[in-house]
Amino acid sequence: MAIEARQAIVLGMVAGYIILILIIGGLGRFVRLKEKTLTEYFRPSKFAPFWAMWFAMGANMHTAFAIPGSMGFYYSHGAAFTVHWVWTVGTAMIFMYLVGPRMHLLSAKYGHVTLSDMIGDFYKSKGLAAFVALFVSAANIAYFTANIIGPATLLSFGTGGLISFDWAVWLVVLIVMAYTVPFGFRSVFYTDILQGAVMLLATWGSAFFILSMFGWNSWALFGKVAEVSPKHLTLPGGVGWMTPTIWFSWPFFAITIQWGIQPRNYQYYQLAKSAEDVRKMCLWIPIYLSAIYVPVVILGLGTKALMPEPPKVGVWTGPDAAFPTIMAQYAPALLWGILIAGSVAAGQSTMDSDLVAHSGMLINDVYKAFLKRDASQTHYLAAGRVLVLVLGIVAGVISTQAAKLPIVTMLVGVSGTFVMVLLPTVLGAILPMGGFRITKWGAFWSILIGGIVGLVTTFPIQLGLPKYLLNPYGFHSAFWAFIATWIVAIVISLATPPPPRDSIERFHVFLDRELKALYPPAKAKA
Amino acid sequence: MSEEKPINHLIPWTTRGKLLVIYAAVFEFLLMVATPIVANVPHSIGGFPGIWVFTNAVGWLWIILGIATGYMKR
Repeated sequence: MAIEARQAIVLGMVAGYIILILIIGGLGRFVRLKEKTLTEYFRPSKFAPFWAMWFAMGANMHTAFAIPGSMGFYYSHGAAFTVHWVWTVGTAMIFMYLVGPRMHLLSAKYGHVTLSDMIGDFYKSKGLAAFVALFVSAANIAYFTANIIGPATLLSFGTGGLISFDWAVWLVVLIVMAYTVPFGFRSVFYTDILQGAVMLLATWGSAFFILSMFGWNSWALFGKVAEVSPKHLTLPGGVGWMTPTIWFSWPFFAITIQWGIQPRNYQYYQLAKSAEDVRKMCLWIPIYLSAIYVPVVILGLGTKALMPEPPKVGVWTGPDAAFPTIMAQYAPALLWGILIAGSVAAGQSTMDSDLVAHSGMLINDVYKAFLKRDASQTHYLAAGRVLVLVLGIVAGVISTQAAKLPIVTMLVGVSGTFVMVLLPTVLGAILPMGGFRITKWGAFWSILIGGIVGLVTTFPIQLGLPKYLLNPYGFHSAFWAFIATWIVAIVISLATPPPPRDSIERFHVFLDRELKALYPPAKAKA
Repeated sequence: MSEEKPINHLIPWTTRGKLLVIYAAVFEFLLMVATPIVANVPHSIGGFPGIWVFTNAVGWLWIILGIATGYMKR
């Protein structure tokens, strides 16, 4: 098959990105493990400069929903997507600011390897740690597929089918495994820096190009949108989904909370050189998280103006295909290549950290805690690498078969809620709440019941339940899961024995002392 | 056991902490509740949708104030 010049440039850009990623992730001396231990592989600590954390963690947090998902969302729902401000600032300024420095201090003191390890230590329950690891992994491993399918679809489409979808899936997965299997989270961090830069370049570069198609005139762009679909400029948006109740409940309860306490973020909090660096990073990272989405209004609505109806024939159809179709047709090959590389970067930068973070939980809190207790560090390190490899392959297989597996769609749909329901458990461990303590059983039942409520109010029809259970009273399912998880956490905690005094001493008293030392109250300073 | 008595508060209750909590409450209220009521208009400054202009203004103000406050001594 003859390759056109445009395809060759796109392939060259993607190949260049891949080579750079493999060099940074696999050859640099920085990524080498400093010692052959489970902790060093899954949770290296105290080495990342502040500026690099900003890029890398931003890329890690943004999933394939950033590229190409957000453009498709704008195309379908219109300016309603600007609700992203609720989470692109709120996550960092509220939840990350609250939990990040505390998780850093606790891990540095007690050597917790994972989020579930920390939870198990506070509640004095290896069973709870294993339950958290399995519960979150079950949902998030399915979510890995979203970070593979989006970039793979764009990669296959962008190369004009030269790379088939299945091959694109394995290309995305194999590149990630090439650096994560040998080098663990260190390689995740260094590659995420580059991926973060490519993602910013892709969205802003594309926005300037689309605006240039309207003579650099935003009035012309949005005036055209007002002609073809005025609903796209106001709420409830193009398809009427973003009602005031969804606007209120979806971004905060389904995204903002879980984004700050994801297991992959736990690993990231440990990379910083100090708790103060984590705190400052939480102040600055909203700029990255928001800046990715600021120009997307141009991309999504510019596409709506240029192509009012989504593609109905061809290899890729529907609203998500509209923006890539415009770019494939009109954008300079160089920019089109950067956009495709940016999409691959968006998916990989989340998938790699997810892959290592969840493997870490399963190895440390399930395998090491229950299945093989007294093996050597060498053994656990080898087992960890094998698990990263296996989970990567499983994610790849599921991605190629996802369309035939409704369970995957369901798990992807509730994966964020399944992490959000960890909130009472996490806060119970790291935040004193007056005389009230979340207990082990309060934590367990709040996660279980919260997860069930999330599932039932997201997929009642698929579960054979009444339709009115879908987003009851117009509020998103995550809102109901949030209420359920807190009610259960409080009621069960009041009725069951509190955490041991030792846990309060080691966690709450310790944090209180550390935070007072870091940020002395006024009278102590005087 | 340590003799130090734990202080059962959520965050170090400094001026900085209080301001950040106030920002979170005010700005999330503006974004989650007020936006659909006050900014749901088709066009605004520079031709951009009103809702986009309003949320950008609120969001960037929160970021600027948050960073400035976060660098206060306490």
